[in-house]
Amino acid sequence: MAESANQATNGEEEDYMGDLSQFLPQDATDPPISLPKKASNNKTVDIQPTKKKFKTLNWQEKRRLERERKQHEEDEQTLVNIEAPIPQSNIGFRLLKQMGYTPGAALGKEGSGRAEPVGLEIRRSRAGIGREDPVKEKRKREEIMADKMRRKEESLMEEFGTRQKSQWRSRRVVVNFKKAKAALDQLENKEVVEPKKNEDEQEEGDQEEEEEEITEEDLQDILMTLREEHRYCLFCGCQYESMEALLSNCPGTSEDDH
Amino acid sequence: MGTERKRKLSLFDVVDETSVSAKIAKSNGGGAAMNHNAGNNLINSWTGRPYSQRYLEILEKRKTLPVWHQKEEFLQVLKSNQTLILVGETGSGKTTQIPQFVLEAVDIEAPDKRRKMMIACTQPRRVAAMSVSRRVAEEMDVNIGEEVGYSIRFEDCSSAKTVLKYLTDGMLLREAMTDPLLERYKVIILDEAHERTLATDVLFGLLKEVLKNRPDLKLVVMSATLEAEKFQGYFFGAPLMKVPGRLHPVEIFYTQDPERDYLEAAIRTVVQIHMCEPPGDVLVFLTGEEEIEDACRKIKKEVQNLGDQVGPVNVVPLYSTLPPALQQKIFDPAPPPQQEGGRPGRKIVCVESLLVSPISKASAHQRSGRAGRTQPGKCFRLYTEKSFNNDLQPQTYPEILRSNLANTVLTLKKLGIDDLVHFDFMDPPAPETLMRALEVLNYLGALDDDGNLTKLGEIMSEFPLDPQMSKMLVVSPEFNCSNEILSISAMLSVPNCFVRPREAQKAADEAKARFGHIDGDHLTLLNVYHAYKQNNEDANWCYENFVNFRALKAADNVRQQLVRIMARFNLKLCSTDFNSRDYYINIRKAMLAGYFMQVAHLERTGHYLTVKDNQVVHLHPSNCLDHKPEWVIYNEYVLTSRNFIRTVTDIRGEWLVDIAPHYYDLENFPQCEAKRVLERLYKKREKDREENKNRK
Repeated sequence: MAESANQATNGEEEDYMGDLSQFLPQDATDPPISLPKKASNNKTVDIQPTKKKFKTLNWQEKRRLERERKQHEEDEQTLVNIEAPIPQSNIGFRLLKQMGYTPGAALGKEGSGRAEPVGLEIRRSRAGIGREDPVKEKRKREEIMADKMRRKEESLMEEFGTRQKSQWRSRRVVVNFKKAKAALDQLENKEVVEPKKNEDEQEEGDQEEEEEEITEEDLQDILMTLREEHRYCLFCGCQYESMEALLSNCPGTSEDDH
Repeated sequence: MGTERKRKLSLFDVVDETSVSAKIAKSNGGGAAMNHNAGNNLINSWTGRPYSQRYLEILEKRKTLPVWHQKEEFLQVLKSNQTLILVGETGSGKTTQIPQFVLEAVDIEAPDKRRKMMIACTQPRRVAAMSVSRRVAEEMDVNIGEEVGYSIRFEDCSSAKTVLKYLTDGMLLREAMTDPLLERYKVIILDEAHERTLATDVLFGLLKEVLKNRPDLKLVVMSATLEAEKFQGYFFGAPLMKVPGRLHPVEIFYTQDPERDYLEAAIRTVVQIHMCEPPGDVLVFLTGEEEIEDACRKIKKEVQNLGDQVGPVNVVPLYSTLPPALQQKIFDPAPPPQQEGGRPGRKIVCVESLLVSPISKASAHQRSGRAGRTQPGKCFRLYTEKSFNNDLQPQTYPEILRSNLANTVLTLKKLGIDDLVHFDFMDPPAPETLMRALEVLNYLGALDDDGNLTKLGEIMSEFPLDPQMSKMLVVSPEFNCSNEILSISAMLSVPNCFVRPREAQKAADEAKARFGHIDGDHLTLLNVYHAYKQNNEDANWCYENFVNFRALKAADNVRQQLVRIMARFNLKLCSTDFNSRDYYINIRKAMLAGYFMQVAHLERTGHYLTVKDNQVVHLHPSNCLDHKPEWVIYNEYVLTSRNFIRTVTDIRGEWLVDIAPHYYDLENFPQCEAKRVLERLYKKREKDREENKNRK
């Protein structure tokens, strides 16, 4: 996401992504929009809409956001500092050890105490239970949204990929079928080799076949005919001496096997 | 009195159980009257005077309390066990009645027969100790401070006559320091044990030891239903007795959606209750002084705006830093209707919870119980039912797991408990918490490098203060300013003395500025105290100068108590000549000698960083400095809208390396701006020394 967001900041790429999102199903984009949306302060999340928002914000709002962001950074640092472990060289550590403390163990008559102090949670707002600090909540919301967006894009890309792949595949089928057909014709009418005529015929055939729509099954049929009747493999590109030679030398019946 | 003693002596030792029960039944449990024969039970055996009419009236009411139905059962269990656990739901009457039952039934004469032993009943809160003891004195028809007394930090309302003493758990712990086996007590009742305050938890472990050494001592642990089995397991499987609460049904309401602002929601809900609900008082739980005062003001205003369509309200704040006399206001009745037949008045009490964090299920249950003590009630929870089920943890963490333990460790050390690792805590703290405490005490010089209590540490432990403040007091004579440090300590131990009414903020700020000392808030507090004394402790003067008279009176009282402790250890009371330029410098140095671990350095970026742990902090807006000093000491680190350091004073970097070189040891110092400054200071000091030598 970070990558795409960076791309999104310059030029056409951004439009491309923007367009893409328009094709997202309505329900996916709805809830975040309906929520009270303030400009984002999260670097990893779509910068473009935020930027647009910033332009409409007055300086007071900007200052407030900046303050919020700084406060947030400060709080994270505070928590990191609080959670920093006490080194073994610390006099408190040494004194406790002298009392019989085994590093890593818990305290109490049966050693049943807590291993770590109860964590601290910094709440900067009067948000009620079940509702997080607005800053935190906003961040969470943004994360969820970014995640959703990412997944949407991924699935879209995937869909696009499969569509492309299947298109390419069906085109391949047609190409292969044509080749096979040509080979078969060649093998069946060795005497009447008239390249020009053949080409004409082929073109006609092609047209007919295209109209008929060549499926993978058609391709399969013609390939099998070639193999069984003429010991010819289209993908090996040669006619084998015997059926045994074909079976032992040709890696398989499909193009992928080659 | 002599004959009475004999009769009491015979109660448990000679008379068999059945006749005790019979006697109890006959006398109907009429207070101490059971010591007399039937015809004589209108005489109060404590005072020798006839019982008042009021006593008899109250007695009738007392007899209806649920706990009375189990009086005999209780006394039986108490007689045959050293420890017992009494689980009583809210409203069972256990706090007021059980100590009186014990007093009637247990022989409290000391073995030497020259004095009486006492019954102690601990309370986690000061206000509860005071108010319950008053109530019990009334029930026993005696004067408060005589047979029934109370003892809270800096206030002892008991006498040689006292036989039943309500005291904070912290005070009982303090008493154990001079009386390790608590020999003045015959029975100790730990009330509200489920609250698991720091002092109660330490008392648990301590009393388990004391009970082994004193077979004649009895312990009653009283708790709400929470965790009763846990207590039982901890106290050698002591018998558990249950007293049903007189609980009326309580209807519980939740909000539809989580609240955006719980304070706003609380105010809105209170006003709605006042408008729509039948008569009855309201209890609002909030998180601290500022919030409570804010809520009280807003509720009053909102109700005023409603005019005649609603009845009058009496909105009362209650928080720990409120002067005790003001705390008592919660017992005032609801205001009467404004006119004949008008809408009834309502009392709204805004109280402080002990902890600013989401409530646990157990505490939420406990709180809702308060609504059903006297009549069916309603409980409005400002969160959703889903949140209750999914977001709340089942139990609140006991205080010992959440607190700084420096003071506790010092107390334990003084009590002779050297092995803190295997001490029988009900919930042992995390190793790190103890390490931090030991570290602080070692740096303060209260513990030596082998963890032994030093002479200094022993003296420090005698002060009912934080170790930093105790240290500052103990060393203050060396800086020739113990009088001033005593005043500052006293001022820091009472609620904020500056009054800032909303309608006169400007005048209040101007008044405060007149006391302001540009070098720091501690010195400003000293100025206020001096001015108060110079103006003959006049309440009017206080009022005119926006200073809280009660806070100053309390400070004066605290100071006297501290002076007594100083005298006990022959600590000199002295002052630097006020006209000397060292007057304030000595005071600031003495403060630094105690608070050298609470120092912040001004970074080039313009904010402060606390030393060693490098936390970003900001000067609290209430400070009265006219500049941003490079180095400050601070009294508190508060996390509110930002990380603030409150009550700050300017100190010099040179003093750090002179007074606390063991803490400002550069080998043990994280890389930061402050370190580089200190390096220069050390070099400078070296150079100065060299020069001095050369000059000589």
